[in-house]
Amino acid sequence: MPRRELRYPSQVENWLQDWGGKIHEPAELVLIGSGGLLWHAAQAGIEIPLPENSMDVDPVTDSDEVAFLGYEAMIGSEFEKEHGWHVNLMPAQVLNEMPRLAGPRFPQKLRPSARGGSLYPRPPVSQVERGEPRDKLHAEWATQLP
Amino acid sequence: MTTWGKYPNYRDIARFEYGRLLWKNPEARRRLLAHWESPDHPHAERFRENKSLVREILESPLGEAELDSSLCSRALSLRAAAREIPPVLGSI
Repeated sequence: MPRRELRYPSQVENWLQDWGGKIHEPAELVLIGSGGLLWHAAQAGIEIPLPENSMDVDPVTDSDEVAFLGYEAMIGSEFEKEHGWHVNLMPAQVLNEMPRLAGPRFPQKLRPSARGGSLYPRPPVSQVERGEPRDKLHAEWATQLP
Repeated sequence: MTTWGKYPNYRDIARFEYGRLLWKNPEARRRLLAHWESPDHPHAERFRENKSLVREILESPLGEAELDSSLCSRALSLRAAAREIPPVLGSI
């Protein structure tokens, strides 16, 4: 039985490794909120769970291959049944309304693909300014990241 | 005021942006149409009624502002038209 809901950095890491192997062209995505925090934690070898589970990840992409995978992983999909959480594609417009976490603390990383494509997660976007209690908890959790 | 209004609905914008992106891919377009026209899809009937409009905005080479302007000249708007793009329920 897979873990229900999203809480551990390795869940995001494994998901992106899997998608990196399914695309044929280099692609980028931006992870908003907890998904992005978990990815960066995974890059630092941290496997501390988020204080509150998440039910989805909110990526932004301009890749049709990644968007197609996203459409196969929406709420109610087989992906959700398998993983316990789903993908909620967000429009690029949201990036103008949220602060980008950038700088050496959040380096980009190339993800090689078995089929020659590459997935380049971009610095994530924080939801802390939304100000929900969960956002504040996750922002506090993120201070552990190197 | 932007195309999407003072209080944009991100779900509508996402269906429009990613719908346009996927529409360019023949296989994705075929699967989207099959999904939306399936009798099991709760919006299938509504989609049939608005199919030409949905196709128009997904296929249009115009940018958002130009497309909105074109629709407004016919008493429509991109904001309203995007609402007619059915959601994907489960997967395609």
